Amino acid sequence: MSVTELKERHMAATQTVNDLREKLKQKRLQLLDTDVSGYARSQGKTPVTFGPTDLVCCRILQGHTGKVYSLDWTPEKNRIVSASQDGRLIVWNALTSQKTHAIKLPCAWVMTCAFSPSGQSVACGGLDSVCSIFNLNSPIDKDGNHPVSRMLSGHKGYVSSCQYVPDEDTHLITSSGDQTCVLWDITTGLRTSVFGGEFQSGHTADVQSVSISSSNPRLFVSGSCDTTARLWDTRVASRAQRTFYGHEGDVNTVKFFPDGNRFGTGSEDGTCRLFDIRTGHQLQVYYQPHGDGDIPHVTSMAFSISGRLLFVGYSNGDCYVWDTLLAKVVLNLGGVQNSHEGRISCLGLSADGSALCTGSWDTNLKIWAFGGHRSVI
Amino acid sequence: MKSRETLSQGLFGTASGSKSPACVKRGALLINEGVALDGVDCQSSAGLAALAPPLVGCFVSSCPLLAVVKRASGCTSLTDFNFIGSETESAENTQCVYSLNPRLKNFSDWLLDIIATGDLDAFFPAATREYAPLVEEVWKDPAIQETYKRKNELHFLPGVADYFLGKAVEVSSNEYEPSEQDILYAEGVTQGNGLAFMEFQLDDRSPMSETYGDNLDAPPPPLTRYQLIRLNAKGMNEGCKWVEMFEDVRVVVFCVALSDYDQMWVAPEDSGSGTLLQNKMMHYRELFETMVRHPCFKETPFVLILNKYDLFEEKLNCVPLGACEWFTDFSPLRPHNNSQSLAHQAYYYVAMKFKDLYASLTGRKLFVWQARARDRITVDEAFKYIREVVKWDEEKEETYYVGAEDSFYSTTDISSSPFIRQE
Repeated sequence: MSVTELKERHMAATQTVNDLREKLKQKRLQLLDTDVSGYARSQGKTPVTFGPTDLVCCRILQGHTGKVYSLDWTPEKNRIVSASQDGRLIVWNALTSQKTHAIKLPCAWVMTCAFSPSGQSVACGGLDSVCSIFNLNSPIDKDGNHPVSRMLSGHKGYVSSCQYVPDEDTHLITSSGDQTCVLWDITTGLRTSVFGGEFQSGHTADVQSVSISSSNPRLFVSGSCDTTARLWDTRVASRAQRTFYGHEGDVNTVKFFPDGNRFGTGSEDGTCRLFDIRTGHQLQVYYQPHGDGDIPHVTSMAFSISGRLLFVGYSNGDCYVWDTLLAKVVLNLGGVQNSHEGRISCLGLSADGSALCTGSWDTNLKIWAFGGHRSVI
Repeated sequence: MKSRETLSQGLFGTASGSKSPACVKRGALLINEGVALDGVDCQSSAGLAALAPPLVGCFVSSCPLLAVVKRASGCTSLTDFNFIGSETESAENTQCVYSLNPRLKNFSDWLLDIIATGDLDAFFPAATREYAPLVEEVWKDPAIQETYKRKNELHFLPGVADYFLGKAVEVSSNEYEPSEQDILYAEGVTQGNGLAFMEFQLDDRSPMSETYGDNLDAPPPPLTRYQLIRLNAKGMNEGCKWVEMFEDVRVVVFCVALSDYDQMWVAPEDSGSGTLLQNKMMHYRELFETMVRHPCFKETPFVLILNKYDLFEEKLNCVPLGACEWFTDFSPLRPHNNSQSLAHQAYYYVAMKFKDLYASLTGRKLFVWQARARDRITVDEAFKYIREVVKWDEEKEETYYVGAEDSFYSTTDISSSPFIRQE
């Protein structure tokens, strides 16, 4: 068969797929009678209200000399690890603002970092296509550097995001610019499973983010520049369990909802969406129109412990707190006193849900907490 | 494992916006199209491990050679490759000048199979030493040599194939130490997609500054630390998210291989050209445009390095510049009427094309330089030029007069060429 024939068949097949997808979309729209906010309003729910002293910046973590790209909390104690373009990972004590570790990275172009469930190790990855693991308890070598305890190499593109499997210090999942997600076994340094990639059906563009369900650690979601989010079961690497369409731009971030039956996604089209994994429906769109030209991109997101609040960081420095049920912005942390001066690149909620940490391109991290719960220094 | 790093990575760096009094760090972003830039020591350790990646890379990239020979030996229908014109109608199993003997054919079939299934990593580089003699035999086989003579028709074969394959056994031994030339030739053949960076220091003296040579009592000029970041162009496409990380670099160095004006590559399906096979120079032009338009490089000066000038010179004698659809209006003057050779005129023409494109997108001047990447001196000069551009850009910020368009640093080797047809 000649090249032109193959091309024609490919185009015809693509057209068929797109038509079917459009039909599916129409069918879904028929089945969906309302979205979450419509239903909540019909039930008489009112938005959460925030007073001026309710959520304040109680700590400013200064120390990075470059843009902060990523942060993660420990599941146990109140420690945060942050990764920055200055080539360092800093581990902070969130209560005292002190730095307990400053790890110089072999490759300064780091895009992600994560704390292990035990709090003993941190993982980071970036443009070097490798996920490096550092053990925080191992002694510093003679140059004053922390040794890398394990390098997970195998990706053919940059590592955009990594997360440890809950309660397992030995496994983590990375997402990469080579369009795959990989489950690694840290003790051997080998890949246990590869999700997507050349010979399997997976994402068709760079994968930007992963989120593992806390209620069922076998499930995880990945978000990609191909505008979709995919749900994977770690036991089945050959194909995604479900693909979620709806976004019109690169999906920059995904996060599971606390109950594990839904997940949220944030994208370059400026919207966040809530999807249900059981039905595959898009439950809600979170978007606030701006007025002026450029639509700010969503860079990061996190749900509160109950799921009622959704914290979203944007590329213009805004950090909206959405009421998840009513799809209303109830607070903008980018407009209050002490807000960040640059893009918010990452944010995360502490394990007990009492504090939110945001990291920004202005090189600082800020911890926000409910007034009175964490005393301001 | 310095040389392994060199071979498999290249050049690395970080950009830092902060200034400290003792030394100033500046970052330069290098977008590479196969430039081999030396300057790194060649302390080698295990020759096998160090050179195995490029050797493997050669195996992988030589598979078009093997694939073509495989087809030729079977003499099956070759309308796609348009290869053995007259022999398409001959019966199966006819021997021709491109036929491999069965033993070698089995080996090459096996290699092609494992490449197709994507299992190459499982066999190489571990098995390199075992298979090297067989590879050398295949390479020396007259069928392969005959096919290689037509290498201009094979678009995906790396140019360095013959350099490494010719000494496959030598290179695969444990005691082999790669020479500097080996390292230069190995550039670009590796499979990794990561970037590479390198730090180096140049002193701040420039021929233009006054302190040059006169004041012997003055403290030595501060050594400026530079960091060069090399990005593999394969990792770049319209959706490249990570370019934003390089927002703070002081200059973007875009390298284009001049000799690629008639070379093709497989363009991704959704690119603007619509065809599967695209002219490489057109691809570079698209990539250049994407980079220049990117919002994070709005204020960043660009330096274009037109590389492989020596290969370009040779090729111009057989293939006209118009082989690339962007250059069809090139009309050179006869060489004996003036001192500028055809290659010179073509070089300035290409430079003007890029400069016009850049000016139409940004309204600024594009800095252009030429290089022969395997020749240390031209690369050295290119770096000095880049350093001058960086300094000039910094000084431009510090001085306050408006409209300082005419710098005394020329934007190409000569500031304008009388040989370009005025449109």
